[in-house]
Amino acid sequence: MTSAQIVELVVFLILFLAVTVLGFVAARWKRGAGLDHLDEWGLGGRKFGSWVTWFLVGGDLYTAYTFVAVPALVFGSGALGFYALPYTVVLYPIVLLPALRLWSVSRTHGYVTPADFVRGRYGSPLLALLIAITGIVATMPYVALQLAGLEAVLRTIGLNGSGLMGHLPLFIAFVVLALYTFSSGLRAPALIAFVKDGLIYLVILVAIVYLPIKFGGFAHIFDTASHTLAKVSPTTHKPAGSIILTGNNQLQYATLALGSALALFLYPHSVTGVLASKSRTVIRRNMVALPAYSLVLGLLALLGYVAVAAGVKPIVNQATGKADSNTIIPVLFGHTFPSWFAGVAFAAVGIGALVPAAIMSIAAANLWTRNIYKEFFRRDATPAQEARQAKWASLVVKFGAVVFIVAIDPQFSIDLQLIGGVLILQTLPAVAIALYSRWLHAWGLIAGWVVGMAWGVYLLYTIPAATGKGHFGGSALALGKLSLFGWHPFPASTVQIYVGVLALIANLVVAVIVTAIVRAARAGEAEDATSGGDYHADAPEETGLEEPVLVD
Amino acid sequence: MSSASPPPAEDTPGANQPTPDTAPGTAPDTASGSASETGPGTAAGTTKTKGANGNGAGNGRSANGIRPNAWNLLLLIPLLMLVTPWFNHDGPRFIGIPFFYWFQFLFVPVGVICVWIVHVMTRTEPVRTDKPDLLAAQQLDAGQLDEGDVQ
Repeated sequence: MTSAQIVELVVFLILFLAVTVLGFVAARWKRGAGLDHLDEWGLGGRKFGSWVTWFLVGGDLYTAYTFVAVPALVFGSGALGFYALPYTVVLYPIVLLPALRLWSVSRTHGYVTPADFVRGRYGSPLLALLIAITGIVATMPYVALQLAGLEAVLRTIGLNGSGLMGHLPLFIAFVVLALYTFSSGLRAPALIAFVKDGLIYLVILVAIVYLPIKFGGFAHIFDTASHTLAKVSPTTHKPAGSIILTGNNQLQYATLALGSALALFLYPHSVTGVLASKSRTVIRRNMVALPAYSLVLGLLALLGYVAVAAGVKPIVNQATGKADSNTIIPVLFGHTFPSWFAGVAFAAVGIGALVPAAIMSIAAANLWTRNIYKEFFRRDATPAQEARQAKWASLVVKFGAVVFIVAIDPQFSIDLQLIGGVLILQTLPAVAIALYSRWLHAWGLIAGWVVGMAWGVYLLYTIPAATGKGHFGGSALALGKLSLFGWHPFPASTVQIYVGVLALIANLVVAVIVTAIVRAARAGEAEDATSGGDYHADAPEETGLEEPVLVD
Repeated sequence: MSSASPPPAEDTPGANQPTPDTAPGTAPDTASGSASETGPGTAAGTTKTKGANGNGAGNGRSANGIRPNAWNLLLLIPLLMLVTPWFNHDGPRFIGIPFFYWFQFLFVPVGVICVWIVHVMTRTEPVRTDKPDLLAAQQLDAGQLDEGDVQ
C-alpha cells in the first residue's frame, strides 16, 4: 500500500463510520408505532415526503452501477454504454401514470409488494408466488452488482487480496450494512441517501469540470477514444467499439434503453421506494425532479472516455487473476485527484453501493415475508411476526448476494443487471398491465411468464462470451441467431437486440393466446379485490388550507 | 461508421412500436371499453370514481377506473429519443462533444418539461380521500378471507 492509498483508506473509513452511525440512529427518525410492524420496518411508515423520497428513490435507482459499471461499459465498448442516459430519460414518462395507480391501490389495500397487488387483483396465490420469486431472484444479481462496485473501490484502495481472503473487506462492509438494516429498516438507507447524494454531486461536479480540462478538452478526449476503440482486438478480431453507434448495435441501444426503463419499476426495490412516499403529489413531483440524476449519470458515462484518454489500465483482481474493468473510474480518480479527495470519491461510490443494497434486500425480504412465508407457511402471522421474519430474510438476501459475487467473475457486472432485467421484465403483464386492465386471465399470465422466462434464460444461455466461447456472455442477441421453432426470420443478420424485449414479446403473445382460450372455455376466475376508485385514492390533505377533494 | 446503414434505420422504429401498447399508452386503448361501465349512475367526466365501488369485482372489465386525459399523450414525446438514426452522428460538435451525446443530454430537459406539464395539467383531477387509511396486515387478511382461490 502506498501512502496515498493509506490517506484514501482513512478518509473512506471515516465516512463509512459516519454513515454507519447514521444507519443505527435512523431507527429513531420519524418513528411511528415501532419497528415491529412491516409497514414501519419495510416502508418507513409510508410517510416520506418529497425530499426524502427524492433522495431515497434517487439512491435506489442511481447506484454503484452508475459510478462503476456504466463508465466501464463506455470505456470498453463506446457509444453503446451511453444507453443509460436514454434509459433514465424515457423512464419517468413511462412510469408516471402506472406508479400513481400502484401507489393508490396499495395504499387502499395495504399492499407492501408488487406481488401483494397481483394477489389482490387476481386472487391467485400461484401467480403472486411467481411474481414474488421473480422479484427475489432478479434482485440478487442487482445486489451483487452493488457489491462489485464496492469491491472495485476497495481493490483500488489497495485491499486487493487473493483467494477468499480477498473478499474479506467486502464481507466486513456487508456485515455492518446488514446490522443497521436489520435494526432500522428502510429508514436507514433513506437517511444515508442524503449523505450519499451530497458526496456524489460534489465528486461529479469536480470531476466533470476538472478532468476534461486536465486531459486536453472534450474534442481531444473523444478523438483519442475514437482512435483507441477502433483498434482491432487480438482476441475477438473486431474493434472494441466506437464513439457512435454502428449499424449492428443501434437496435440494441434502443431496446436496452426501453427494456431497462420498463424493467426498473417492476423491481421490488423501486416499488418499495414509491410505496414509502406519503401522497400522490410526492410521486408526481419526484417524477419531474428525479431526472436531475440522469444528467449526473450521463456525465459519469462520459468519464469512461476520459479514462480512455488518460490511458487508465484496470486493476487486476487478485481473486480472479483477471483485469477488472469496474476499477477504471476508481483508478482514474486515484490517479488524478489528491489522495484525500480520491478518498471522498471512493466513499461516495462505496456508500452509493450500500444504500441501494439495503433497499433491495428490504424489498426482497418484504416479498419473502408477504408472499411466501405468510401465504404458504403461516397465514395467521401477526404484524410483529411479519416484521421479524422480514428482518431475518433481509440478512439471507445480502449473504446470498455475497455468495453470488464470490462465485461469479464480476468482470462486466452490468451483465448481471441486464440478466436480472430480462427476468423481471417477465412480470410486466401481471403487474403493470394489470394496473390498467384485468382482461388477461391469471392462467394466461402464468403461461406467458413460464414461456417468457424459459425462452429468455435459454437465449441468454446461447450468447457466447466476447471470446466467442462459453455461455451467459451478455444480453445482446444477433437477430440472425433468432430461431422460432427452427425458422429464422432474419437469417444472417448481425443486428443485435436486447434479449429481454424478445422474451417479453413471447410472454405477451402467449398470455393473450392462453387468455383467449381460457375465456372461450368459460373457465372461472377469482374475485378482484380492487375497484376502480382504489386507483385514484390519495392521502387526505395535511395542510387543512385546501378543501380535500372528495369525489362522489 | 457514422452513417447509419439502412437496415437498422428501418428496424429501430419497428422495435419501438410496442411502447404505446405496453406502457402508459395502454390507458386510451382500454378506456373506451371500460370507462362506460365504470360509473353507472354517476355523471360523466370528472366524477366517475366511486361508481365502480360496489360492483367492482368479477369479470375484470368493470373495475379499472381508467381516466383518459389528452395531456397524458405528452408523455410519448420523450420516447422519440429511442429512434437512434436521428442523432447517430459525430457532428456538429458542441465544445468538442459529438452530436450523439449532447443531443441526448438535451432530451433530459425535454423529458422533465413533458412530465412537468402533465403533472400541472392533471393536478386537479379528482382523487378519493374518503377511504380510511388502511395499513398492511389487517386489511390484506380481511381480503383473503373473502376471496376464493383460482379454479
